[in-house]
Amino acid sequence: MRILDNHCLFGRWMKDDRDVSLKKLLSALRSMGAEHGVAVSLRGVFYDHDAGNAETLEVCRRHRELVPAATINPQHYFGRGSLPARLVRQGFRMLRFFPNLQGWTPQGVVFERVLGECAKARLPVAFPIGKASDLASQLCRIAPKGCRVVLSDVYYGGLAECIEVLRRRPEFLMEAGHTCVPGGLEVACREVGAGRVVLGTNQPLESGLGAVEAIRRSELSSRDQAAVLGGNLSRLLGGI
Amino acid sequence: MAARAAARTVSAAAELCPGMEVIDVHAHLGRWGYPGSEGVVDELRRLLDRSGFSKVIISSGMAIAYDVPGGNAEVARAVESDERIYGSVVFNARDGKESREQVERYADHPRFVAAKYHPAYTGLALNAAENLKVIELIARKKLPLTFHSWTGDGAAAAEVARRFPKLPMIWFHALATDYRKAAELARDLPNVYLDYVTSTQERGKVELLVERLGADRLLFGTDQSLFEPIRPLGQLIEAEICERDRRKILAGNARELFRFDGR
Repeated sequence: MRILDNHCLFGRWMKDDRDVSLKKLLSALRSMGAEHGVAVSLRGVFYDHDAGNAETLEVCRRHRELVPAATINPQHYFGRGSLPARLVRQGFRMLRFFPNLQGWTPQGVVFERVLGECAKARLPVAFPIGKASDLASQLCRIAPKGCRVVLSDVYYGGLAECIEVLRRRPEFLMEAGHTCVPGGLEVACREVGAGRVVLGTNQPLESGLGAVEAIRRSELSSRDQAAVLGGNLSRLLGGI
Repeated sequence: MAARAAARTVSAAAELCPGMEVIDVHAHLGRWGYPGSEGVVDELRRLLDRSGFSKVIISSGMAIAYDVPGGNAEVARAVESDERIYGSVVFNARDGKESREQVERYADHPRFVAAKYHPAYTGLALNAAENLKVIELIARKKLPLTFHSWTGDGAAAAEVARRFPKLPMIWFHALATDYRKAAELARDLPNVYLDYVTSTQERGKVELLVERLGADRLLFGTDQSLFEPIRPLGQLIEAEICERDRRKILAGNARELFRFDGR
């Protein structure tokens, strides 16, 4: 089964001593058997999104196992053009947000504007839900029709809320990768379909092997396991 | 959803760490209310078949959250139903008499091998006077004390470890994101062991704990039925530590601490 991971980072981690270098990311992907990782430069998260996006593109050109994801910090977004449209032309396949690391919430109008631009540009968006399940509900209400949002970083506490959001928004997906109760993945797939779940494990900050093995050993059919591990993400990204 | 995948004949442990025993010292019976697990004993057995863990020590989610005697009694029934399952008696010193009675009742049960305390549900710090009376009894009964340790619990946990130096204590979750502090505190407290499980499988955490505390004082726990149990196993398999240390963490230390060889 192909393994594609939607949630990868590289660069420098300023908060503690963890190694999030490009070298570590590549070895982490190999260690969990992943063929591709959708990756963002942390330069764009912690410093400047334009510089970070440029670095992401450059790194992904050199390492074909990485698929470029851009980032935008809404606090630094004040031009009149559509950056998402430009990002798609440059080759980005995903836009990932980092509100928890940058100190903003999805309630702002700038974020709402970016979502609108992403919907128009057909650029999928990944947004971290974490343990605050009401974020998924906020996205459900804010995102314009057709905006393909991947609910990322979904923990057990937010799973019920995410399932309800996915029921209401057929264009939304969610990541499996964080810890949920045994059987949580099976419930999600039963309720909204295995075609709505993609792998996202936060490489290389977290260990990914267990997440992959938990899916491989779940009670899903082989076909559904393959969809969750890679097929759905490949389709979302336009084929990789 | 299409038909279920054909049951795998090889367990996760057999495939990911062949030839190594895996003992899960931190597990539960009971439901937590999130989508997925029912937390019943049949499900636990299925999860054990799938994971390949040889032994599991469970405490009752119901005892932790609501009904101490009722939950402990459920665990007593579970341990009789499967030789892989061992029990941990939950106490809540808000009712000291009941807690002491529960510890007395299960301490001599051959398949109850530990006591468990969860301060987030009782609102009492581990070192609260009410708890100390129960812990004194637990120490007398020679039951290792397991404890849900979260950020901010370090001082209380260390005080209890110093007060009862012969009582083995297992700090479940290793103070969560404060695991560096847990290792630092535990270094000077030889009766303290840590389990590293949290909902996030942080890369490098196991390596850091081995380096700063030593593999002899780390235990493997999963927090199933709340957490999917294969994830923390994957975290340990991916950890860049030697095979000897991996074996100790997966089962060797637990065998010694809970005296499984004599059981």
